[in-house]
Amino acid sequence: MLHDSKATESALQALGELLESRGESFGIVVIGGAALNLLGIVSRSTSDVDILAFARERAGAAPPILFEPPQRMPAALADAVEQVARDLNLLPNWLNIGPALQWRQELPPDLDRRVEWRRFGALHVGLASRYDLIFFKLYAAADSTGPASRHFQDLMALQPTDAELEDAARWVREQDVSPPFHAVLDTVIAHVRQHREEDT
Amino acid sequence: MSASIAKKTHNRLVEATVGALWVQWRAVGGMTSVDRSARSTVDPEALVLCSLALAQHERRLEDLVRDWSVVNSDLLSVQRIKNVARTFPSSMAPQLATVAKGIMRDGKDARWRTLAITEHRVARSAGNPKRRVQKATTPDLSQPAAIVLRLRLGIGIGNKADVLSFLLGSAGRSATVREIAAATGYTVHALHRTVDDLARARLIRQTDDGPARYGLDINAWRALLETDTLSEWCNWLHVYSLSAEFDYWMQETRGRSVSEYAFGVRAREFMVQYRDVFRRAGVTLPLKATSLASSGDPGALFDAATEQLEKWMTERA
Repeated sequence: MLHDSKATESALQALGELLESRGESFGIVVIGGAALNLLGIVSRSTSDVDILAFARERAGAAPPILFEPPQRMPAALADAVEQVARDLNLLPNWLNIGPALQWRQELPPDLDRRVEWRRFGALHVGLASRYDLIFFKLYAAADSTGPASRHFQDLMALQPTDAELEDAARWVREQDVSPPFHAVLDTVIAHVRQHREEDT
Repeated sequence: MSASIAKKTHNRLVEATVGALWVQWRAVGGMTSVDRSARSTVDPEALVLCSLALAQHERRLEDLVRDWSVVNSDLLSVQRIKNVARTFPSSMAPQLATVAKGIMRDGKDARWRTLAITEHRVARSAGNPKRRVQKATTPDLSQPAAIVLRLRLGIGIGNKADVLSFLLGSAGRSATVREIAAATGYTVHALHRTVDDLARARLIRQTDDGPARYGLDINAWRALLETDTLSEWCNWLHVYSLSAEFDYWMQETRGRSVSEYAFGVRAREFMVQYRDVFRRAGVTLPLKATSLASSGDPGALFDAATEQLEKWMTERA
């Protein structure tokens, strides 16, 4: 378990150092609880670090190009992930490419321009921005079990404005066009606004 | 473990290994300035491969390997060198190909053709046909350390001579086929028939215990070989493999930043893989293969273990 942002950073640092010693390097974009922890938006434990995309650096100041992860994690990265898992007592798939399924639909527009980059040895880690995390968490909250869900709690922690909720909702409606889902989405948004007002 | 300590560990191991190589080369007819006899059985293929792997630290070793191999190619096993080369870094494949080409050209030994073919570019300096062989002679086969070569000359190149050499160097202890395979670098499959043949020929004995163990009558063999001294088999193949692999890893990571954590991971891998080498050198490693947490400081452990190994190599070579 990655108990907090410090634990997550330690794991990523160990991974980056191991990759560097082996002459390998990777760029990844992370979302989910780990991204929220590292951005300081929440402080909670998470079981894993979710990779949304891989990244390739470009010359100069241009942001890295993001691309869809392969179906299987590259062997060099998978091997190092497994080593760190053993050494730091983490789950074997503490770094995984589950969220890459989102590529089958589409990512929030211009996500790559808002990624915040950090370096851990030979591992270049991009954190999806707060704005984009609102998109993902709204989608996840609408797909989950209600205000008690972790996704809803995370969405609240992001403190989305009305404008951000509208942008996110527009995108979420495009990911699932079914009317029942849209009804659930509207309920979630209403809950967010209500809880947001109660907190102020 | 800091980079400077890793470097110190590396330098110490390379120095001890090169020292052992020179002593063993002398024992098999290499012209060296070493003035003492080898104290344990020389493994000729391991000697060749490790000398090539560490030649960048001691250039004369490569010349010696080339010269000695041309003079004594009939005492080397091509099949075995192919087998055990897998336990050495692949980076020395071009050098081995160069040696093989020289043996074919100057030693007129066509057995080395398959080793002389490689996708790697072979250095031109290997190809001087006018260069006189000057750094090696045929070995003095009465030397106890040269027992492998002596038996190969008498029995023929193949695993029978090597199995006998191993058992002769085991101080009367018997061994299973698996243990013989681990020590000699041959496969278990290849050795089953060999030990059966040697047992049926009454050159070795099979115990009735299960699993079967094989040994020989040391006194009878001393009389046959007309020697009072049988040198010890010290598994130099695995010792040299460790030295070569660690050296290769240090070379490969030279331009990279290697953190204490990353070095610890690699150090632990070495200690697990070569646990038997360290055990023979008197080092007990309290390691579990999979957990860094239970390994203490693997970098410091590895440093201490190689220090002990260095002493062992100096004593046993």
